[in-house]
Amino acid sequence: MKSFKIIACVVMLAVMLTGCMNTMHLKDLLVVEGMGIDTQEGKVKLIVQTLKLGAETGSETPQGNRTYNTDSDGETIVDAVSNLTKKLSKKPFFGHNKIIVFSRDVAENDFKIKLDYFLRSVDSRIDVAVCISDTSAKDIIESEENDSGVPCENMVFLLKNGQDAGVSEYVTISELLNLYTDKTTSIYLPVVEKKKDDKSIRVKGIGLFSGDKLVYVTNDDETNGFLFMKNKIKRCTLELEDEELGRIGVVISSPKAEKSIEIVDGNVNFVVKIKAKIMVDEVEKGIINALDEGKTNRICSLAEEKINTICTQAFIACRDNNSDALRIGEYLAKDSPDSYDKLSDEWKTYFKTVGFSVDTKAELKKISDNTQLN
Amino acid sequence: MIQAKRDKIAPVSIFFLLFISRIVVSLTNVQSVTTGIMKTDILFSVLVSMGFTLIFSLPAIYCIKKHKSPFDIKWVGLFYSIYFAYLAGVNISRFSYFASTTLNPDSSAWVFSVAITVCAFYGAYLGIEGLSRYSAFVFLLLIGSIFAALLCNVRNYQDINLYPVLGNDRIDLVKNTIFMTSNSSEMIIFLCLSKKINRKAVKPFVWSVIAAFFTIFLLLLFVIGVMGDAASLQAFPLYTLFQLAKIELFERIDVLYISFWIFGIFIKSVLLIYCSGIAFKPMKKGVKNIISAILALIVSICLTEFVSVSNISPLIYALPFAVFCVVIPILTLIFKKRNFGDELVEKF
Repeated sequence: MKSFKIIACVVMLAVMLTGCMNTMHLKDLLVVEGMGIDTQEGKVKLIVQTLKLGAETGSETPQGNRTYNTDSDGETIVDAVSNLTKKLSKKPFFGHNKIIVFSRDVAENDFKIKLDYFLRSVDSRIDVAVCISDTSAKDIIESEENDSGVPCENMVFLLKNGQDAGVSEYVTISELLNLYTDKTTSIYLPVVEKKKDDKSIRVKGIGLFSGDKLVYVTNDDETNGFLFMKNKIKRCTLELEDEELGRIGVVISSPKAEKSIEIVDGNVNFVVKIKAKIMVDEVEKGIINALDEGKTNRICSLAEEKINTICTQAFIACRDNNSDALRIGEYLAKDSPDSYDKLSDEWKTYFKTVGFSVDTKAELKKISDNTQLN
Repeated sequence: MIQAKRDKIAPVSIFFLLFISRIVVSLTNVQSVTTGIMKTDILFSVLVSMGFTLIFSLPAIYCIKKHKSPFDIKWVGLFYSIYFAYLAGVNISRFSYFASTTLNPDSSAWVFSVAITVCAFYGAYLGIEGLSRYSAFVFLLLIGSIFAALLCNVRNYQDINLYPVLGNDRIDLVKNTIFMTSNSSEMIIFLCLSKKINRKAVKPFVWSVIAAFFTIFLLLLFVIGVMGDAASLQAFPLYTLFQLAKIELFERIDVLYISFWIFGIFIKSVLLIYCSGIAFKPMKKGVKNIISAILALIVSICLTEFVSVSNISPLIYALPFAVFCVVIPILTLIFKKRNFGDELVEKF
């Protein structure tokens, strides 16, 4: 037994002391921070943003852009990635990848084909953000984001913060695959565009898909309404108009939307009930007019009306473009499984006839940070 | 003064060992333990298979109560010994497949199989006491990891992902129930270890089955609630669940999944090789453990190198389960005479 233990120890040591075998130095890796996919003449054009490792910054806090962009092409994404390696003699490392940008052209034509790589490849992580460029993916990846350290990281923050504020959507590969694989649901992705100054990007809206093709990009109000119904907003602002009070700015915090399906006279009706807490932030004629109970109630009614309007606009945008991005089919499966069984095979046709009703209850919590209501 | 009994374990250790043993199975790629697609109806299969597992455990429990053991018959013990080694090989192959496809695609599966088998042999040689103590630590780690993963996924969970509830055919639901039930070999491990337990341990065994299935239920609920239909596209959905776990800066905790599978597979393979050793009484302990480990390694290498683990029909687990975990214990109950020998020797 003693000899066995000695042999076992030697074997274990031999195995354990090989920690440096097959290691890859950081300097030999191409740490990918963002990835853009375009197509041109049937070929995949890939652009990756990678970290400039070991770049001297000269100060404790790194200043300025610390990345560079490299492009390559190939017949498929795998081929383009492989060509990228040939070009740089470094191994691309996708473990840190934060965002994947598809060009509008890809989204409108062969999105389904490009999606498969992200499902199967060991390089692809499932929690990476996805978005669509209104033009080419290269435009977005090459954006300097006002000389930020890692522009792609900024883009992710832009989408996340935008979602919290009700102006954009943050979708990961995991959510995208979920939307894609569901029988009735359609894909939606944030659409970004380059600002006129060419130094940064902005959110344009939400791209709605019908089948596997991008068909429509929502405007600001539709995006806001869409996110209200999706329960994605943490805190957003709304601008209201009143004859007596002028322009009123209100902050909506933690709105909650409850969604359900009602079958009315054999028709499917999508019902949304929203509860929101509002805080009056700014009243144009607030100094002249004291905000009594009647006026605050009117502000609440205006806010409710506004939310109802933008939600309806968002629904109409989805319905008119035959895009079930609001997952109405799945709500039908939840509330009326029998109807779902009957309609799900022909959902695309039936979706155009779905009705909609929205009811918002807004509750005024504060007039301003310093003025509490009774 | 309580005198320690060598080569004996406490009933609570049975709970830890068998809980870990059952949980480890659910970590593997879904194709080898389920069929159809990952929809909410799979949760019903989990609950039903928990009931079936408890029912199929009754022959083993009654064997213990009636002091009848199939392992007393030398040739039956030999078959059980081979069965346990086979199960060890199957479980090792599952981890090796995961490690060689997802963790480190540059490595071959047999490398992982060899490493685990060597460790398992050493663990089995040390005996059940050390393993039982270690299992308490792994149990805590496992519960902590699962709790962390679920907590970090609460924000990703959407109940609408659970709908439509039914996605599989009736036949797939039945198959899932059969496969999940037949992946439980804990009742026969319990029967094999019954003489190594200090006191009666039926309750810890039953609770280990209930707790393990309840945990699997929770994990699968979150898998479907977080990933929705995309769960069906994942070979290792629980691994993906851990990848998606996130609270503020605390994210990508897949390392917890990997570590608790490593700990879990160690315990399960040690337990099975140990059982393989004690199921067959003749021969020296060390020799039996070496033979069992080599057999487990051969099974594991065959499954990973010559056939793809993901393509193996779950029937290769279902049939041995029916024979070794249900039929033989029932036949033992009916035909075998009681054996008080060990108790008498101990009292003497």
